[in-house]
Amino acid sequence: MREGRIGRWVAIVALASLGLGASTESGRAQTREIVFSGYGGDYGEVMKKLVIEPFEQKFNAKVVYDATGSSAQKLAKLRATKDTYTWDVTVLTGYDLLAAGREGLLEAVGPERIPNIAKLHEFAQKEGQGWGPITSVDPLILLYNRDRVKPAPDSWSVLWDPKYKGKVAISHVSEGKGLFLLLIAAYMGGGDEKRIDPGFGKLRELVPNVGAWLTLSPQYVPYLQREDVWLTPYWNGRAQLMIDQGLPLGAVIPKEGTLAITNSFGVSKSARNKALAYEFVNFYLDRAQQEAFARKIYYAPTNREVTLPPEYAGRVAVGAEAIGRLRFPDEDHLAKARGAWVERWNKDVYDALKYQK
Amino acid sequence: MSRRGRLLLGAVNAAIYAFLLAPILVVVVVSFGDAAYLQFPPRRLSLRWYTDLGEYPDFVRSFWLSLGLAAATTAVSGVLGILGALALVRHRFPGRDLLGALVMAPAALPGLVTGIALLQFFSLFRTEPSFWRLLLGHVVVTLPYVVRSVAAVLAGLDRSLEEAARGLGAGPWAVTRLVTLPLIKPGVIAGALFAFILSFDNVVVSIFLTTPRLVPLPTQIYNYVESSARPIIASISTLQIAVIVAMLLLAERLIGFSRLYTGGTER
Amino acid sequence: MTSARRRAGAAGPWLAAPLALCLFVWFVLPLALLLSESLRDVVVGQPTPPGLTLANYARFLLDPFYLGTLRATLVLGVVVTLLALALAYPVAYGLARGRHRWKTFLRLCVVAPLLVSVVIRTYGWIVLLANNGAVNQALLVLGLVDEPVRFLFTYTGVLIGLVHFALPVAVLSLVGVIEAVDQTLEDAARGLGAGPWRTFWAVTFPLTLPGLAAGAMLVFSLTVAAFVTPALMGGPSLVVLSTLIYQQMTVTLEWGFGAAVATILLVVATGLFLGAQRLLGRARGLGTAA
Repeated sequence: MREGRIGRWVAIVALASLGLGASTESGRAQTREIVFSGYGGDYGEVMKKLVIEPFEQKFNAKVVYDATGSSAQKLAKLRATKDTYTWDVTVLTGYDLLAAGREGLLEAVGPERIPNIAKLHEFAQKEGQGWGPITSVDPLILLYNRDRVKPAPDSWSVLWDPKYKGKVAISHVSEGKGLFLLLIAAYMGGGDEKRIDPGFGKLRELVPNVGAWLTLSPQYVPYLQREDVWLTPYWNGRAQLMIDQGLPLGAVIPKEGTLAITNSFGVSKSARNKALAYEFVNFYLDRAQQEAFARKIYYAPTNREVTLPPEYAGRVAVGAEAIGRLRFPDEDHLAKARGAWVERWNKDVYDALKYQK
Repeated sequence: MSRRGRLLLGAVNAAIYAFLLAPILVVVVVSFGDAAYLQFPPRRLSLRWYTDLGEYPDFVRSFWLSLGLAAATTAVSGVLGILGALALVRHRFPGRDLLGALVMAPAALPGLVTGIALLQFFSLFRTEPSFWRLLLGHVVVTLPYVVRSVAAVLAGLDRSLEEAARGLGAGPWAVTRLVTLPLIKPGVIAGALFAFILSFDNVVVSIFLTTPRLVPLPTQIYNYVESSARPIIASISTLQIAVIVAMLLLAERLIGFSRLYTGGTER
Repeated sequence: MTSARRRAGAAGPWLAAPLALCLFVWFVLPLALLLSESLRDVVVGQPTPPGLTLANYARFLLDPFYLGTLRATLVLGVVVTLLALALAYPVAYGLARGRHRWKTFLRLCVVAPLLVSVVIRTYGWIVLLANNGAVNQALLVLGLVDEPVRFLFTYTGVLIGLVHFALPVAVLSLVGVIEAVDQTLEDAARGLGAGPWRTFWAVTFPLTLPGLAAGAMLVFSLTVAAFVTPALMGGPSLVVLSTLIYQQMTVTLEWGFGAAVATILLVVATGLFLGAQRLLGRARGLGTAA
């Protein structure tokens, strides 16, 4: 009877998968092991080869790598699992780190627990407000198609140039690039984080020029590669990688200056192995690891002692002088104001698009 | 049906099938490109994104997990769904309509909400992230599809065959097992297909319920895509397609989809 | 007719119990827990103060923009459902009544959109629908248009993306039902002199209504729940409830407001399904074969 056969197969498959489930959870070493939550893709590859493997060897420990989720999703997960163990260490963007810290989800850290913090640039020690060191920064640059945008731009205002109507891509304000663009537009309009109205005004003016509304960073790649998009604000790290891959792009920090996003590591309050977690963060801040990250994926290091060969100058911000030229937004204020800005952005851009039709 | 009618139907179908396949074919073609970034149409062809797969053991592990998870989800959802559909369609009890509406809710809510809700709930019990969490999340998300598919076929069923069986002296359980279940096979198979594929495909709920060691394939792909846009994801997706297709063909062999309807007249 | 009378017996609740229990414990309870935050004043970066408030609901229901997003969500659901069912029916009919040789291959083609994850699928659409993508190039070469048609970041683009995903769901909901139609009834109608169209509309189609209802409910659900496709293919000109929920739950982390929007979506959707369920129940007497 057919049904009998089906029943048997279902049972076999179900048992097999139960077995699979059970087996993959076994073998949990309790000591000398931490779980680190990072990102996937190239970041993950570099992290695993150049940081985790040397760490495991040097400290005779195991680091389990979890690449799931963006910084915001990690924060959501931390919040949902409050007081329960999820990870020992997690990477978080600056403002997410502050939010997590204030909600009681992270351990306070300083040079006593993580000695290498003393070796960082001053802002990298302070910006995390004690919830974590700033481990790297990435400035927002103006990315342009070298063949199509002539002369080579040197100002953010090129985004508003009607000559490039439909060839500009911008991000939703819920994502870092969009948020920073709003701030930069505010600065250009004579405002700042606390007086944001000029920013929204300039954004409305920008809407007719925008040909693509993108959110995830890798989403940009097909548009740039197919030359559907010629101009966009973008993260320097990824931009340099695309240039390395052979795309005809140029990256420039416009004369008006720019903002940089900060990355940090946070140690969970509910971490199992805090001592090892602190060692891991400390290890990452070592000169060798910081330098490796800068070379491979162009994350600007925060350890003062890092130096890079001259071919990296202009591609990664290294050294006090280069870092000094970067501006960091008031992350405190950002954490508080973002909600209102998201709502206003939704409404304003929706309106602007409606009247365009 | 007339000849002209058949041709028209065929033409409409062909156009719709082309629509269904188009973006999928793009992904498959891109996976054979040589460039270091996603390029369509590819200038040069190469197998490098397949040979490079060995460098991504995480994806292979995720693949096996997804397979097992999908199978288990199908089994659990299937049983719960069939029982539930029988109750909803054939019986009357207080709260029946509410149950019928509520069973659809997991499909109508963004997976994000279900994922966060389940994660928060599980955390209350101080349990560890585990395979069971993933399984429960997947079952909840696929139940609406199984219930609806079975209920649809059940609702239109001709009762006379069951009446005849009962008239011949068969007890209710025997009638269900030997007459009803075979008759609703098309619905069960459709539901099982949904459960399997949707579980295999599930991204968002899984993001919140994964453990560092247990990452289903779509979540793994999503993690990768959030950071990089290399063609490796095209080759992995192509392999995913190939494997699911192989699984479906295997299931077809064993269960015989092509003859779904086991009763009535056939032309 | 005994076949139309539903048994009000003891068996019903027992059969439904496993499903109901599972749903209650693993869905209703967790959701209730999360959505109860809609009544709290959740602020980022601070512990939540005690006390209940309706402010989150007021924020949504008193704002014409947000009410507009509710309307947009429901309209999108209806449009996608109608389109998907209309396109799915010929496909399902062809599969159900077609010759067996091609059936396997075609069934695989039908589920093709479900075989890759949404982000990958969207990449495929970008390649096809971009201003210099394959579709526009074909249209230009064939002389059907003078300049590229905008598909991406338009409502049409979102429809294409959603209908594409909804089609397999709709087709699979219908195939089994169409197959189960007793063809002797159609023969009888033909024998009485009805032409093929008439037979279809008067006999076949009504018998497949349960499949259409199931397909409609599933497609409507997945449309209102979708947030990747509207975001990636529609852009900010289409704000639907799932977009808002996503923003509140993972970006602004205002879970109070996010939970309120989710609750509103849940209540509206469940209300619609309840209504559909009641209608189905009443129509079932007409749908079964005599």
